Amino acid sequence: MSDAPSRRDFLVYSGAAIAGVTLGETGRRWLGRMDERAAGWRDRGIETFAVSVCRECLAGCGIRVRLVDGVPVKIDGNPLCPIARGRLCAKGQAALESYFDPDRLLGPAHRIARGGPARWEPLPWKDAVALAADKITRAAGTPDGIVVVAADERGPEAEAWTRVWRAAGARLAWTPQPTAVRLRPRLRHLTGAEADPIFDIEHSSYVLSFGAPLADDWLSGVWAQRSFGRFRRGVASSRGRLVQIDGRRSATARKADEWLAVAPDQQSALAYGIASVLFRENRVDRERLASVAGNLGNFEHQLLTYYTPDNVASETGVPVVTILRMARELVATPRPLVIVEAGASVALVDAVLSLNVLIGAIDRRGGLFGRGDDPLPERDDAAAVLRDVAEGRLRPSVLVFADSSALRALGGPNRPETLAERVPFVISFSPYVDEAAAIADVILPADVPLERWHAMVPAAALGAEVIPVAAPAVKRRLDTRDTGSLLHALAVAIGGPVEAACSWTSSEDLVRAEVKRLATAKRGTPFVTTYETEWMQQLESGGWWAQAADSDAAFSDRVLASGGWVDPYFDAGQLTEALRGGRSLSFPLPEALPSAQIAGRATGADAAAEPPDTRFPIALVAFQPAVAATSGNANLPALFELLGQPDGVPWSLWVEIGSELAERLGVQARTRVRLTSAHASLDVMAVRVEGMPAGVAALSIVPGAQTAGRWSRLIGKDPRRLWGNDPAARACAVQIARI
Amino acid sequence: MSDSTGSPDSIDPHEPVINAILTVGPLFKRWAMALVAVVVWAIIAWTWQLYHGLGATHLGRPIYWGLYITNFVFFIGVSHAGTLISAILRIVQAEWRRPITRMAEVITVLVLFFGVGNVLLDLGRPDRALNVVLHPHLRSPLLWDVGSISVYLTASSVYLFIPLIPDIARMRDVTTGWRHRLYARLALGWTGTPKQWHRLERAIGVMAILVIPIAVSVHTVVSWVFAMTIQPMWHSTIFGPYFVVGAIFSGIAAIITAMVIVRKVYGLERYLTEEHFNNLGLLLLVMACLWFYFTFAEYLTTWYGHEPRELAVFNSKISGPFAKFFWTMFACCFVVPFTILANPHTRTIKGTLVASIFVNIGMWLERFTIVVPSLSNPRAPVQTFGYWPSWVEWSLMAGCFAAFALLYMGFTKLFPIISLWELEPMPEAHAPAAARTFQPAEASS
Amino acid sequence: MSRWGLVIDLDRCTGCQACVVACKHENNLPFSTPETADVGRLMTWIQLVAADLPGRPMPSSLPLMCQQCDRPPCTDVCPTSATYLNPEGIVAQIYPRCIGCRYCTNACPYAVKIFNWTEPEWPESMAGMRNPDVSARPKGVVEKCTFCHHRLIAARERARVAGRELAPEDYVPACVQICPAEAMTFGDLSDPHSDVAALASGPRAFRWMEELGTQPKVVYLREGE
Ligand SMILES: Nc1nc2c(c(=O)[nH]1)N[C@H]1C(S)=C(S)[C@@H](COP(=O)(O)OP(=O)(O)OC[C@H]3O[C@@H](n4cnc5c(=O)[nH]c(N)nc54)[C@H](O)[C@@H]3O)O[C@H]1N2
Ligand SMILES: Nc1nc2c(c(=O)[nH]1)N[C@H]1C(S)=C(S)[C@@H](COP(=O)(O)OP(=O)(O)OC[C@H]3O[C@@H](n4cnc5c(=O)[nH]c(N)nc54)[C@H](O)[C@@H]3O)O[C@H]1N2
Ligand code: SF4
Ligand code: SF4
Ligand code: SF4
Ligand code: SF4
Ligand code: SF4
Ligand SMILES: [Mo]
Repeated sequence: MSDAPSRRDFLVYSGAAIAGVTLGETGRRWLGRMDERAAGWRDRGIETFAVSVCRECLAGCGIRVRLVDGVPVKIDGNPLCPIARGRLCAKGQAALESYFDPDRLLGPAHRIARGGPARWEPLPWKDAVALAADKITRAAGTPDGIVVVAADERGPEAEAWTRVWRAAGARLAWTPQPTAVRLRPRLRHLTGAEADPIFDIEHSSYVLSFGAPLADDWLSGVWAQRSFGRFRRGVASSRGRLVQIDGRRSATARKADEWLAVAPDQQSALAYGIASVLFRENRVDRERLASVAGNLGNFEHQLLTYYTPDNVASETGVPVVTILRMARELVATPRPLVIVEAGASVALVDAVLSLNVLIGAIDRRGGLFGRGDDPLPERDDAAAVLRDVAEGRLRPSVLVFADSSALRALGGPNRPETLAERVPFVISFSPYVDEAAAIADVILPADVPLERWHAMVPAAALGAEVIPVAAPAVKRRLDTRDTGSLLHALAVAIGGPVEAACSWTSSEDLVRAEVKRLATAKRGTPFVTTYETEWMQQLESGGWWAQAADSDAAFSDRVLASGGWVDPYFDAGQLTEALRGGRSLSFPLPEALPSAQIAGRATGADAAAEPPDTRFPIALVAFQPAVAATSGNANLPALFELLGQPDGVPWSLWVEIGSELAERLGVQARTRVRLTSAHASLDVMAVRVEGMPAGVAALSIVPGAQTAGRWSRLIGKDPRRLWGNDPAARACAVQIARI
Repeated sequence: MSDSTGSPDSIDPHEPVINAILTVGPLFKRWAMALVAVVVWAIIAWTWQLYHGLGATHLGRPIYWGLYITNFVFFIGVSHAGTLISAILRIVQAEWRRPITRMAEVITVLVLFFGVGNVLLDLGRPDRALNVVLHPHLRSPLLWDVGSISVYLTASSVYLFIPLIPDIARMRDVTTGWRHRLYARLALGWTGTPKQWHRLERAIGVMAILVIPIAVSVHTVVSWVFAMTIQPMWHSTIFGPYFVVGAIFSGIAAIITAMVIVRKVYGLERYLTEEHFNNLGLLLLVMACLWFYFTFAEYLTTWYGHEPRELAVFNSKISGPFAKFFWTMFACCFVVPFTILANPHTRTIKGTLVASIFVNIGMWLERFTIVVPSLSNPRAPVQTFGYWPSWVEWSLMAGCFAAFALLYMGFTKLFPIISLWELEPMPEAHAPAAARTFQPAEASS
Repeated sequence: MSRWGLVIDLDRCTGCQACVVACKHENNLPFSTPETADVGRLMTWIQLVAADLPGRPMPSSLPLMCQQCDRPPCTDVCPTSATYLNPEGIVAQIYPRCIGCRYCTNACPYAVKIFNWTEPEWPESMAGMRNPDVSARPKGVVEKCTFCHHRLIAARERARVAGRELAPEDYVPACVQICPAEAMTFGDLSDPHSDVAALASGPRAFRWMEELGTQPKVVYLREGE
């Protein structure tokens, strides 16, 4: 005790000496002020929550936005939404950054001079709309008139869009989305049923996946993730086994119990190979199949003739024993299921759907269902239409963009700038400075999703009809407009039949009309409780009735407050029903093997399938990392930080190569390599992947990341240059060297 | 003291030493200007760092420590030069040590400031350094460091000052003006009475014994900053003695370097003879062998155990990205000094100087290859990167060395860099046993 | 006294990194650039790492945050007690006390402590998106996962106002709340009836690098059969 003061003194003096050496009191104060500057955030304010809809992809997850004093600070899942169930994917949350994006357009603008670097001038809404309307009116009379490009969506806004532009005499083109809708035509072809395929992963015991990015971002991201989790460790049930057939080690391949590295263009051969083993070993119920399928005999003959395990093994490089084992595994488990990537080739989708028929996965728990819907209209593919424009086959006077993704699919000489040269007037509705805005003559910026009214039909994933519905969650930050008002303003300015086609004045009108339609249907219910609770309650009450149908207004309020409406009525026997008509199932007859025709994804010819060029010995496939595949704003820093994880370096593009090549190049952590194709070269980080076959490599790409804003510009050069004039191809031949 | 002996010969026999203090030549000025320029530049760099934070360095996760901590360990190591050498030699009565003790002790005291200073440079919040004493956490080896370095700094300052007193008194007696007043103050009323001599002797004796365990503890604790963590190739039981050996090793090399320079600049050939360099050279040789032994033991056990995380660090040093540093270190710390010093023909002044410079570089590299490779290969597989110091870090390092040289030069202009009284025969009655005459070379030959 | 713990089922986790974004937004972590990320200055409290786990053919992706060690090597070494184990088992940081020596960052075997190399900055338009519940960290101090401690404080406050005990669902960290694969379970390890306690003592449970004696309260469930 007694020596305490002196020891304290000693400590204080030595401490003072330390501080003295460092800084005087002035320095301390100065640093203190710097702290205060950094700490300059708001005091705690009033916390509220608003529901809205995630529009980062077509899954349309319900979201709940946390606001403090009306300013959004966090996006979470809407616990009531049957798709999101309170959860979200990385992109869904990052959408918060879109609202605050410092590089958003402040309001309408027009280009001062065409050609050369873009120079913009703000324009009042009235003038901007008048300018656009004038051009549209004039264009209506020209041969190729107006071409309008939008993302393929369903819902009242898409319908309104269609009606206005049809009335204006425009040609509509749509960018297809990687949803179950893409698989629909093949399901129709097989079963005759007009339905979106629903894959019940959650209850399956064994999933054989042909490139389906189940753990990355498949069909409906949050739904797929949850299904995967429950498939793996469902409540007290056995653990599901996943076999991933994938050209690269995707996140899904990493999570799989077995990963077979098979190039995408060889996957259909493998699928048919497995099918042929099922026939050969009498592991299919021929009697049942014969009762529904008219061409079973032909199909079996074709398979047994061409897709013998030996033929398939030599075509795909997968050993015969593995093919046999996979076929046997597939039927040795209670509830097997075969799934496929949305963008896969027709041949592969056909093979996968057929396999599901063979293993009896149709309309059974843990299997493949169809979710009935009206026939889908045939829609022009935006990328093809734009290619026609770029190459002069189509000469519209006005080009309108509500979505720029099709532009990103252009490549080589068909750059967006080419379109600007070919088309006298370009209109963009984008709130961001994306590729379309960059070539636009006038920009009429739309609201970003948090500011918008929503009522849309999300990508089919559940055995239930879900319509997320929401009012704006936040106040408009900049001088933008909702799509409904924009269309209205344009229609009024154009006048005539266009104005007549426009029965609304704003998006709110469109959404309220949709809610009214739902209310009058007297089916389904607002998201009132969680999906599971609702399910139990409905089973008890023996039906699905709109609980709030007492009055339209009350129903509307309830739907808007909860974030959406769900109609869990689901005919789990729809596909079986379609087949019951008698032998209406028609197996697609596969091509003969071996041949080059099995190749080819829907997206175009695979350069990988061409004879190998000694200068460019490596087949390069491209993939879009799930976290970077945004449909809206590409300027999301939180997502760029996720790139390359967990193997590479955040923010960077990387190429995955097998251990043999890695060894030869001396690739260690953080080695950069140069990819050289016939067209260009590109420096990227190399990541060594054990089990990746020799002769192939996979390159990550972030489409559209070059123009959208300060962060997006930080993502290196556009890798698509490697593909040169053949932009549609996802594979090209390269040479790889260490730098 | 020659005055006090009342000899009619008024020419001070230590005139070269005294002259070195009282005259400032053009060479000195030029060097001082150059060094001041470097220091000013470093201050600019430091201001930059204060403003931008440690973002001004090239550190990052997981390489959280780099050049500053390397310098910290290096400087604290060099500090063992002094006190330890002079204390040990004093205790074992190696009388040839007499002309070099002061030089060594000054290095110790000055260099400690730069050791501490580098820790402060490394702090994210230097403005809060006081929290270490306001909220001390006794389990932290860093706090032990604060304690042991403070004690060491105090002890070595005292140990430098006490033997300075008779020489300060001598300076007081030959100077006028501000110098006279300064020396008069610092001499604490020294008149050379038998009682004072007795007290001086006792104080020196006590401090010499005290300072040795303190010095050993200091570098042991510095090593524990690393060894107490469970990081690969830091978590080593021999780090304490290994660091102490390295410290003495680099300390001796630093003295030799300083001796050669001082000898040359001030023409002290009479005081600092071949014999000194030969003896210190032999000492350096012994330390080189000890260093080799410790290094060998440390690396052999790591390699033999082949624990994967340890081995990752090991490999990064032996054949990986740090190999160039590791093998240069090995050449500098062992191959070169051993070759030069084991051969009596090359163990000349020039030879020991060359060996010493290599040892200093080598020991700095050793500190670097202890700090950085372990952090570059963490246990957890987080992304790492290649650390190379930024201009700010290099500038501050240059500034530290320049400021050290400047202060050292300044000391030589204030105090005798050679302990004069220890070289003189003492009045018989006063002469304590430990203070036997040791005449400078020329005088004795 | 509660002992908060987190279980991550690696068999369920898809590596989607939704948790990483959730944490980033919830806890006001500033954005990096390619340059800063490249030199280890990415600010993230949770991150996917590729870990070699026994019985797996390729490195697993493991969501890694502070393991909330019960015997934390990081708190031992802190000279100012600016990081310490709080009574509920959360390893806390006192930002205003931290001197930025980065000893704790180096002592942590999981390398999960993050240092503020520079003043955190957001573009002006984004200033509003920061969560006012989470305190600001100036440059020069160390930070890390706090198990979203501010949510515990808020939950306690809500329970107190409502005049009831804290219920398990009241306190859920941001990453757990968002996880789309339902791979994360959070709760009180000292409550034998809690889900976390049951999972943490199950046959698939392991604590990463537990051989170091860190006694983590983040528990992983092994992948595979
Ligand atoms: N939220 C949101 N998400 C999106 C988008 C969006 O707009 N919003 N964009 C979406 C769009 S438009 C796309 S196209 C997707 C891209 O996403 P996906 O459609 O999932 O396509 P990729 O990620 O490019 O590739 C997925 C897998 O297909 C494999 N693969 C590559 N080529 C072939 C092939 O020829 N055949 C087969 N069977 N497999 C192949 C790759 O190796 C990879 O494993 O991202 C989508 N994700
Ligand atoms: N080499 C190579 N290149 C490719 C691909 C590839 O696999 N390989 N993939 C191709 C494919 S399939 C695609 S889909 C693309 C990728 O396509 P993406 O890069 O994913 O393109 P999106 O982001 O879908 O484009 C959506 C556009 O809509 C705009 N937008 C978003 N919300 C709104 C809104 O509310 N209102 C309005 N008016 N506009 C809005 C955005 O500004 C954006 O310009 O890349 C293509 N390029
Ligand atoms: S899956 Fe699509 S809609 Fe759902 S949260 Fe992710 S990006 Fe948004
Ligand atoms: S959110 Fe869940 S599934 Fe996704 S990475 Fe994190 S823990 Fe894994
Ligand atoms: S994981 Fe690291 S930071 Fe977290 S408590 Fe353990 S040692 Fe400390
Ligand atoms: S950096 Fe801060 S929290 Fe970490 S050890 Fe130093 S003072 Fe403690
Ligand atoms: S518990 Fe909270 S702080 Fe920790 S990683 Fe999860 S979200 Fe971040
Ligand atoms: Mo696409």
